Amino acid sequence: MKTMFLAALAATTLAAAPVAVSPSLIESPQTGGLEFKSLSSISFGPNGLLLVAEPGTASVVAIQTGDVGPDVKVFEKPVADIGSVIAGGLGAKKEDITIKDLAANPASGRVYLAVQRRPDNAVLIVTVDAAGKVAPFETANLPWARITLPGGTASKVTNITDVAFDGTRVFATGTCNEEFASRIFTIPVPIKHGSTANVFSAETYHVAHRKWETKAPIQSFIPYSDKGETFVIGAFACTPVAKFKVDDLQSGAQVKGVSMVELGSGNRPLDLFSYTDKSGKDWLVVHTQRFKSNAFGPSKMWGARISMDYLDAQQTNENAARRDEKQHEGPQGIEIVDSLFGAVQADKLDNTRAIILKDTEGTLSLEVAALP
Amino acid sequence: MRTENGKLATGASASASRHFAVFSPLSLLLLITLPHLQAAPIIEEKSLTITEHASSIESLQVFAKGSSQPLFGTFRPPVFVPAAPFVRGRIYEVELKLANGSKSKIEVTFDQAAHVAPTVCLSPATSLIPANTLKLYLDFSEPMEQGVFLKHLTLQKRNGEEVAGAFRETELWSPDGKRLTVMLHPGRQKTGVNLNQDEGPVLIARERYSLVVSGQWRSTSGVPMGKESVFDLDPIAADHAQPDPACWQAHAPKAGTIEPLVVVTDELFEPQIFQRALQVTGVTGKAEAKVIDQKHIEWRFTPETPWKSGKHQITIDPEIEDLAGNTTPKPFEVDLNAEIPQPRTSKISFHVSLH
Repeated sequence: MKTMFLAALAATTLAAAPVAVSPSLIESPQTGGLEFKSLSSISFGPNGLLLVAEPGTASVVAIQTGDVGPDVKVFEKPVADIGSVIAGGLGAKKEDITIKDLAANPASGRVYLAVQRRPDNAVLIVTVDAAGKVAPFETANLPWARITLPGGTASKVTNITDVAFDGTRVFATGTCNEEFASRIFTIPVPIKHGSTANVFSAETYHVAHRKWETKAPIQSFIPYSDKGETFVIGAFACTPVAKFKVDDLQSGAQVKGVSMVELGSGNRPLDLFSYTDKSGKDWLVVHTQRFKSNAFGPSKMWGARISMDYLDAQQTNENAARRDEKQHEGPQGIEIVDSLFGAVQADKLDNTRAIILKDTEGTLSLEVAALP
Repeated sequence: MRTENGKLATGASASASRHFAVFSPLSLLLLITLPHLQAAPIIEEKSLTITEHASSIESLQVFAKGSSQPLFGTFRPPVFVPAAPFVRGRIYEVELKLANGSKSKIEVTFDQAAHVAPTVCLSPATSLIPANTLKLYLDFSEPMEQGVFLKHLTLQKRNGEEVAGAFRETELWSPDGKRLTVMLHPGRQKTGVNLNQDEGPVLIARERYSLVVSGQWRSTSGVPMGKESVFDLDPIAADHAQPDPACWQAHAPKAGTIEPLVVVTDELFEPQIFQRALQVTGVTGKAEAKVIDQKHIEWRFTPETPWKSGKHQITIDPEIEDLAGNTTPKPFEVDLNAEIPQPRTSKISFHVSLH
């Protein structure tokens, strides 16, 4: 009898046995045959539910990974030069690999990375376990569902900037390459394979000088609830943080965002997440790439935390809080998070830790960053 | 060295006892060096198949040549499936350990794809663009490698000085990987927002620029463009006005014919997008759009069946943007202190008659 052997860096054992589907999350799941042609954003929902944005097919794929702990274990030491390990596993040079996104599974501590290889643009999701072992994410026996994101009248969604789960539905943000506006998509739960999403055309108003009104694509977002209302908190390339009320909207509606915080020009938000500190105070973390000279730290990759009080405020665009660009902190409730300097990717693991992919002079390492 | 059938062989293992050059049914050239196996493995994009003695293989690893890191993948005898497809033109080393304890190494070359150097065009094909242009498009003849456009694309003043920070960093490709949306940095192109105030716009009217595409940019097959492509850009005054279809010219066809309906705009749009943005109510047919000079788009619509006499209507997608992002409902930038502009019409009527 022939025996099955695994290559030295074999598929993760997660898929060794069929995974039970939580009936509340995926309806009519598929098994096997899942391939990705492109990847942009990945994130986790509850119970090991992985959400994968595939911009090339304008779709979001939900996968029941079965990676549900119960213990949360994360590597104690940084996973050094992980770019070389991944590149080698894909038969590529280190410089021909891009880590498109990082998602930390809060249920297990395992880290998932969306990877693209050049020049052929092949993509792969890899996992990193508590021992620092890197392995391809094997989906053969996993239940999954794909949902298509609707485009405009004459255009298709070509970029999915972020995807997240808020406890009751899946949100995604995206753009068409032919229009400048952003779209917010919502996918009801249970996620039904083959279904489509509701879409809102999203606009925000940069009233930088109380004069000009422009629209812009959402770069990253989190779903957010306050006083029984549901919002999407979005960050934009021009760095305002805005919130969009998304309750009671009909598909196809236009939703206008309200700018709440300005971080300063020359920054591109990459990731958003929220957490609660030891005192019980809620914070929004904006992980950002800076294009101007460094400020208050060793890298153009940096992050700030913003008190959620700013997001709760009933402010208008004109009264948006503005970060003091000349100070490490200020105004009160807006602070640079030093542990995020150098991070090219970041995701929250829990209320005390984030997982970051750190770039040190071209060498990538996967590390745990303490949240203040 | 040359093998028995005369094909040039390279990279043979020093421990080789025999050499083969074999063509698979898929015309894949395999160069192998095997002490134990007589038949060659077959390499395809998503598999490598050991064709002989597979059951006696205890373990197998595949490496990109020169790498000490084995490829991600699974080996279920006799097939190794890589986690990501094999790359054409690459040499792989297959290390086998057999049940009798012996080891061997095989070199496998996945043959190169057709060596077609990609070419590129700018769309719309014009140098006269509004100074507040948001988007241009690069159309490549081949799917291109992604994640490197900021490395291979530069905006230069005509004296060769690079315009720093000219592009939005987000990469937008068409699904086929051939069309790149080049988004001039909105933070600088938008009036009054912070980058615009701090650093000024990317383009200044009446200055002269070049959009330069590096010859090093590779297709997904790994073939570089080979030579630099340069597109002149000569910005004209900024465009803050909504497109106004009432100012477009519609040339009606004759009834009973399948003559094309022709619409000529009074400003530029991207032709491929504009082509899909107009619909003739109740009439099916084929539309084409092209830049007819540096300032106008011509849209030609040929019906499947002859035109019927009477009034017809063209509907314009309200989401169609001109180069500066203005749409018929409203301009890209709205001055909140001024009177809010009224939406422009999204309909054009024309009359078809026998004469």
